[in-house]
Amino acid sequence: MTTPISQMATGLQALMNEYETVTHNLANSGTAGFKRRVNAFSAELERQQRLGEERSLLNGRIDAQGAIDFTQGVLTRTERPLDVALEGKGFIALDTPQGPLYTRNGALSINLLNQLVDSSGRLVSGQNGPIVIPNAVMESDIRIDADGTVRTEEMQMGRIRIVEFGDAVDELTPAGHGCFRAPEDLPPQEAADTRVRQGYKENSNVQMVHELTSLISLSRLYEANINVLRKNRENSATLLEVARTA
Amino acid sequence: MLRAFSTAATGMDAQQTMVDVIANNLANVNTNGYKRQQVNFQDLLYVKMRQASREISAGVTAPSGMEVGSGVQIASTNRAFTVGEFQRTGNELDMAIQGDGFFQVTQPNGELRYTRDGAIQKDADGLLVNAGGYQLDPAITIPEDALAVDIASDGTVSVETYTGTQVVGSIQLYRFSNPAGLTAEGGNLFRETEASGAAVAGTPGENGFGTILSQYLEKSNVQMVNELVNLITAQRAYEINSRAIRTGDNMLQQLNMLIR
Repeated sequence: MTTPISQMATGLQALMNEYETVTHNLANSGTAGFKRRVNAFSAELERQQRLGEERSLLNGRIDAQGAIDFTQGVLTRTERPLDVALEGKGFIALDTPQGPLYTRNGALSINLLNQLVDSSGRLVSGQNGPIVIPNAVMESDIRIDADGTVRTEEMQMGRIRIVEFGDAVDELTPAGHGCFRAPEDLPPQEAADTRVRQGYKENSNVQMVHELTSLISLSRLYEANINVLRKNRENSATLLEVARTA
Repeated sequence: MLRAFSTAATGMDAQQTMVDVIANNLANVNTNGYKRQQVNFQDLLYVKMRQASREISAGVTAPSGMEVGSGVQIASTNRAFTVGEFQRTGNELDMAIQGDGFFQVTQPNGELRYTRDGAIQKDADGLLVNAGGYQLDPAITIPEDALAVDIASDGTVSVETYTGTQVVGSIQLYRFSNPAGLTAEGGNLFRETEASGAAVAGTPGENGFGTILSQYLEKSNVQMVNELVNLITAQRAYEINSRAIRTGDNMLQQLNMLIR
């Protein structure tokens, strides 16, 4: 016998996991600042099959990592003064009771204490503590500069802390609600090349075509795997039949 | 498997809300002083399937963990208080606010409401009222013998009579530190909330308040093209999410057929 059924089932399970990742990406095609998840299982599988290394699949040992694709999304204009988008590799730092979080979704607003918060009400971290917008300052007068400085014509209210993680960005884990969490041993650095754009939002970097093609290819691979499994079963049935008549 | 179905369902649900909001924006494309709404999406929590840096085989550790997300949700809808287009009506009581600020009106129960809609009329007693019949606050009465009404850019309302010109009052504007926190009540009216902050009164043209543009109306700030593009995007995204469910259903069906 070629492959134990249990090992083939691992392949089916991995394709199922990839399917879940693709669905999640598709569901977030309209989420500002969303970064698509990559599950390269089917791509790796196809590559190996092309090279004739199928054995690794049959051993159920292809390892597909759930990585995050941090490429820049397209910026669209919203004209809302408190919408900011980041151009570059940085993140907006947020202060939460559960520790710092990092986001690319800059749909900001002002809470009851006049502090600048994100769309879920988490405090935007400033260079010198929370950024407080005095009552007398009107939303339409707020200017946010490319370096994150929040000001009006007359006064400065603070500077949004924009951080980056360089090559270690892959170590960030998604925390849900548009945020990422950094491991404790990874201190954020001041982002040097990230520009803040006021009145814009960053679209999700999910590309429909891309996700749809992986949806098609993984469902075909799934079908193929099922067929192999069925063939396998028919073969053993025939073998039994031969053994019985002999 | 069932998780992926509900993930795709959250996607369809979110796009549905998006379509609802766009439909409302489009329906109000001709509503004076209407401010378009926008939807903010957010990804949902992640299920940790495998911890990062766990040993996957002898001496090999996973460089990253594996998390499967569970879809999307609506974080908030907020209103873009950008100024709409101005349209000249020639009606002497029509006003548009060029810049920041709201008109204040009093409801019959004494509560105050705020609006950008400057389609003002005279009621039977000569009082200035908005299109819904609520009194402008502070109240201004146009005398019966008025021949013409003039509203200056600083809000001063003067009338011309046979005996000469006289000032009968002045329009005040109101601002909020966080207009996004205002509650929309329908009828082009907004209500002050804790989140919006208290209304700050002022004279048009001073301290950052807008000026009054007489004989003009502020149209809706909905941009038809943008909304239509958003509508198409939302509809396609809805379709694709439903396709994802169908694909999953197919996969399950094949699995089912294995066992006969």
